Amino acid sequence: MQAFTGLSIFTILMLMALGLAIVFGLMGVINMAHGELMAMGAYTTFGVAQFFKAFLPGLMSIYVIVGIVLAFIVTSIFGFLLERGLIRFLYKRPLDTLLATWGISLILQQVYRQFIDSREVEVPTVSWLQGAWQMTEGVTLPLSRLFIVGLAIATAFLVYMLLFRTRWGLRIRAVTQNRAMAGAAGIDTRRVDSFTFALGCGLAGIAGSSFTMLASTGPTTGQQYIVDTFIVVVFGGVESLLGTILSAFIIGQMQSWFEYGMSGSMARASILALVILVLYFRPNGLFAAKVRR
Amino acid sequence: MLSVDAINVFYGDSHVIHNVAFELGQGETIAIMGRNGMGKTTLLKSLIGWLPTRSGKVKLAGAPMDGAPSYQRVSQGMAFVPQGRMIFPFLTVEENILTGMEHVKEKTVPKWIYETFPVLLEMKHRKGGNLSGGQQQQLAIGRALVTRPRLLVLDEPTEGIQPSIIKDIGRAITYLRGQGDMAIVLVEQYFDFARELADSFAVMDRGEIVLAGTRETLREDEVRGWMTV
Repeated sequence: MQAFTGLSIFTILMLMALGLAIVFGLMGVINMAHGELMAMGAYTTFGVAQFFKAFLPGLMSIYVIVGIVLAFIVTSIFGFLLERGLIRFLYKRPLDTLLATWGISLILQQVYRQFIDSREVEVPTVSWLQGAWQMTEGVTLPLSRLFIVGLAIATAFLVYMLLFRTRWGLRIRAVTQNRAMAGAAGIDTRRVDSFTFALGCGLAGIAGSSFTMLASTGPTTGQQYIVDTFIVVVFGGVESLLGTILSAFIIGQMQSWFEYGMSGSMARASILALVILVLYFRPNGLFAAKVRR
Repeated sequence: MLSVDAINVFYGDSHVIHNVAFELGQGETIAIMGRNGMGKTTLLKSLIGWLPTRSGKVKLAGAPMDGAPSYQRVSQGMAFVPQGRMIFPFLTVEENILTGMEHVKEKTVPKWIYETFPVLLEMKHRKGGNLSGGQQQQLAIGRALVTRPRLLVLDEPTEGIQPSIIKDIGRAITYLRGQGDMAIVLVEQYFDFARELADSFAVMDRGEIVLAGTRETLREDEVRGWMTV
C-alpha cells in the first residue's frame, strides 16, 4: 500500500521533472515558474470540468481526456510565448533567468488568486475512475491513481520516442550537447529552443492535469512541488532522462515510506540528507553518462 | 565564392583581428598559417558566425553574411570543421552525420560519405564520444560534407592526429574538391599538409595578414620564418 502511495507521488514528480529536465538540460534555464505551469494545467482541467458540467453534462465522463489534452496545449502555448517574449533574451544570464522566472511564478500565483479562486478548487471524479481495484484481501488500489500511473508511463514513453526516434529529437539532443556546434552543423537553434521550452512546459501541464485527480488545486500548489522537482532532476543527473524517471521513482517511494514511519517534515529532511549524501559521492547525479567529451 | 573585406573582430575589449581581407574563388583553397594565438581560429569563428565582426564585410557567393546566425550561413553553403572537432558525444556516428543534413533533400546518410570514410560505416552505431581522435576528425569532416558545402572551413584538421590518418584526410579532401567546385579555407600549422592542398597562402601574425601569395609566388622559407617561435 505504501509502495502504491509512493507510486502516485512518483507520477506527478516524474511528469514535472521530465519537463524541467528537458528545459534545464537543454537551455540551462532554471525555470522557477515550472510549478505554476503545473497549476496552470490543473486549472485548465478544472475549467474544462466546469465547462462540461454547465454545457455538456452528457459527456461529463470524458472531460478528463479533454482536460489532459487541453492542459498540455494551454501550458505549451504559454511556454512558447514565455520563451519568445522573455527567456530568449536572457540565455547568457542564467541568474537573471532564475529571477525573471521567479517573478513570473509570483505573478501567476496572484493571477490565480485574483481571477480564479483564492481557495482551493476541486474537480469531480468521473464515474469510470471511481471505485477501486481489489488486488488481494485488504489491498485496494483506487482506479483514479491507477489511471495516473498509466498516463505517466504513456507520457514518458511518448517523450522517449520523440527524443530518440524523430528528427526533432535529434535536433534537441544535438543542441543540448553543443549549442554552438549544432548551429554550425546547420540546425536552427532558436526554433529548437522555442519548441523544446514549449514541450517542457506542456509536460508540466499534463502533471497538473493528473494532479487534479489526487488533490485539490490552489494558487500555491505549484510551489509545493517545484523544490521536490528540482531535487529529482539534480539527483537523477541533469542530462539523463532515464535517471530522471528512476530518481522520481526513488524519491517518491522514499517520501511515502518515510512519512509512514515519521512526521512529514522529518521525512523531507531525511530525503534531503540522503540526496546530499549521494551527490557527495556522485556529483553529477545517479546517472551521469560516461563518454569522452 | 568568399570575400572577406577588412574585418575587425574583438574578444570582449581585446582587438584580435585587424583589418583582415582576402578573396577566394570557386574551387580554390587558401591556407591560413601562423603561430598559436595569432588569431587564426578567431577569424574562422567569425566566419561561421560564432563571433560578431565589429566592422568590415563578409560575403558568401555575393550574399552578405554579417550578423547572420550560423545555421543561415550553413544553409547558404558554408560548412565548418572546428578545432577540437566538437563531435556530439552522446549521439551515434550516424546521428552526428544526420545533424548536418538539415538543408539537404536526402533523409538518410549518403553512401559516398561511408565510401570516403569507411571507418564511419564500421562505427555507425557507436557513440561519437567513444571514437578515437582520428575517427572523430573524419566524422567532423563527414558531418560538414553532407551539407554539400560550396565553402568548407577547416580549423587544424591535422592537430593531434596520427600521420596515416592525416594522409587519408588529405586524400579525401583532394578527391572531394576534384568532384565539384568546393572552395576551402584551411587553417593549418602543419606546413607540408597545407602546401599539398592550397592554391594560395596567408600568414597571420598578431591578428593581421603579414604575408600572402600563391603557391607559385610564395617562398617556403619566408612562410617558415613566420611559423617558428
